[in-house]
Amino acid sequence: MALVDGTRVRAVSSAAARAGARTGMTEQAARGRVPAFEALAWDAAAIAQAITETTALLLAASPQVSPAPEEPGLWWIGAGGMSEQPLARDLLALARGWHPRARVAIADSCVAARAATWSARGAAAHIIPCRGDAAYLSPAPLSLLPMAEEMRSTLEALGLRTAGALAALSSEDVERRWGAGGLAAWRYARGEDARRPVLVPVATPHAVSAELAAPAETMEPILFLVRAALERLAPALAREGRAAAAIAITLVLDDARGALPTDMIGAAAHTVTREVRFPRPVARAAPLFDHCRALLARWPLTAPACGVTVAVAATAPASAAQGDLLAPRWQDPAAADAALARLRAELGPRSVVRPVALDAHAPERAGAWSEALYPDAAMRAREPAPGSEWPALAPDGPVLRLLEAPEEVAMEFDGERPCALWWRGERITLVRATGPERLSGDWWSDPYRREYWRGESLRGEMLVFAERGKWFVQGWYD
Amino acid sequence: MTAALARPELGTTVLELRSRLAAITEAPAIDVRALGTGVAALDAVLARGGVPCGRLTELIGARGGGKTTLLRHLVRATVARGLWVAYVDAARTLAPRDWAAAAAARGAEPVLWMIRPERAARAAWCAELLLRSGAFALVVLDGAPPLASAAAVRLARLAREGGAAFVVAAEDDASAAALGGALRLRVARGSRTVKVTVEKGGRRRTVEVDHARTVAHRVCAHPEVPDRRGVARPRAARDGEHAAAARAAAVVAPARRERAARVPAAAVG
Repeated sequence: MALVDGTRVRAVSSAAARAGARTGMTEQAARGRVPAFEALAWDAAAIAQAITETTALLLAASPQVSPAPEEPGLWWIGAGGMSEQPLARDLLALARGWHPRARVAIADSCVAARAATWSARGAAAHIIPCRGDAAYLSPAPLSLLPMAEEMRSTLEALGLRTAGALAALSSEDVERRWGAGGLAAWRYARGEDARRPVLVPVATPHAVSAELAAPAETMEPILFLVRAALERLAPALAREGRAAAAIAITLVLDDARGALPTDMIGAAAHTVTREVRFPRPVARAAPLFDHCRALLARWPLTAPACGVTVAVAATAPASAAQGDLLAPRWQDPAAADAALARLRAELGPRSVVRPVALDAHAPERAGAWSEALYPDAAMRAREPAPGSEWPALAPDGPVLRLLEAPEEVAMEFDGERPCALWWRGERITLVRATGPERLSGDWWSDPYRREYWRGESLRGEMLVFAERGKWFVQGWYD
Repeated sequence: MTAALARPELGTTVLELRSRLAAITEAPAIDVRALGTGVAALDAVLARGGVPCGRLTELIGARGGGKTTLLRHLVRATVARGLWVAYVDAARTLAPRDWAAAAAARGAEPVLWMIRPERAARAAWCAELLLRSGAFALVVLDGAPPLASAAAVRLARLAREGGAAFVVAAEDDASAAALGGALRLRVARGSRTVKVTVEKGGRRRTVEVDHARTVAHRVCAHPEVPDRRGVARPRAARDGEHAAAARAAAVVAPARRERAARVPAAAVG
């Protein structure tokens, strides 16, 4: 059985779908595939009436109910601030009064919720954990993501059949091939969906575009435009009580693609979009600009840029940190985030770090520099156990400064004790040498077996060790 | 308001309210003009009772003199107040294990950030960016090439505008000559102490800061037996082992026992 609108099939029953009938087919083609094809006329008025009645029914469960446009039978329902399990149960009970096999899914994004209602994995009511949309969508077939048919078929021809495979592609490559539509599909695949199940007033999109007077080969002119754009966008966001969670910068490249005739492939201007996501939402221009500047700093221009668009890709409710009237000074976390992001962009990886102690004895292995804001599980597993007396954490001892790699030295001895060493062309007399402290370990990965001495000289205390008959300076205490 | 205060019953109420408010707000009065160095004896001789906020502080001393030990005291004291610290390690020689305790002082909340540029010449730019953000209470520039006067003036101005204490650690006078800091501390190595001399920004005094001496927990005298260690164990489990090791050391190598010393407290000289 199917509903036919004119000559086209608009909806098919599951039995007809199993036999090969598809929406969008002509009625004749469907009859060719399904011998017992039964066509009913698409009654727009009756369907609209049914949608209205069902919407009214669902309003008993949530105040935010929106029928999905162009998709009769699908509703977006706001679940914010509500208990998810009871809501799913109530919605399912209401919907089953209307259809025996109704399905309900709750997710962070519309795209994941819709996919969950169609997924064979899902029960009648399925709840995707918070921040779990990307992981949930990863094995989902591409047919569950909204995208152009040409893009879907091309991806499948390339062997990319899941949302996870699409999400793993570079956004730049996707945009270059399929433009803005492809970029939107790529974002859906990552569980990023700006659609919200609420009836919101149509607002102007938070985006500012500008063209450069002459194509720019460096980022300097673009920075000026980005700053001006952010100075317009930030107050607009603040007026709405929102803050930017992500900013997308699109550069229009002047590589002659835009000059091609419009009927040729790739006639649209060559645009490249990159996004920056913030550790915490910001609605002030200065930190936003610092983040964008960090993004632009590591963005090589492959062709001169002739235009730029700055858009707020994601927003969040503006929630300022609670200050303290009596606090000695207020520390602006957004400013700190922005400064550190800029340093990371300019200095490269492993330049902005936090010290972490590790469960090891060799001086260079007893700690690590962690780039993460918070140490991950693997790093935590290597930290010393709480309550253990750990020599590395002795808070009052002299501070060790380690050379990046131990430097070989020539050592002089008084009997068995080191008494002087030659380092960097200089003879350093050791007034006192204490040791040896024999350390060995890590035989399972990177074995070492050393004899450590601490040599006190007039110029400080050196940390030296002997290994395989050679002597090395590893650092000094300062 | 004046009329109300003149009435005895209302005046009492206002006084009571004032005293109750004082009881709430009295607790720890934090001096925002300076950051304590973590060494009480040193704070006592500094003009503002610590490293001044909004000013440049020079910390001068030869390699191995104890600058970094003093800096760690300062960083720990600042972090303990919940203030954020950025440390530019231009020489890239800091060992993370010595700073992990300070970084973890506030639990999971990140309060201490280390900046380790590949090229030392970029260290001043890093400090400038950090000071300009105004988010850090203490910015340390350690091991950078000598700053030009103009750069020092610019950094000092940024520190003043942001209210941050800016500490520049240098090895020699030539590096520090152009800085013109509000406070100058000279650090030198003493016998198991760090001698800190206040040359500017306080009473000209020398403070000796003792520090604990970490020693090898086990000394194995046999040349063929390496000191194999397992994972860290609680203190109680190791005490017996340490005692046994100390007895062994006393028998086999009496000269090495002197290392087992832990020097307490600080003294003013």
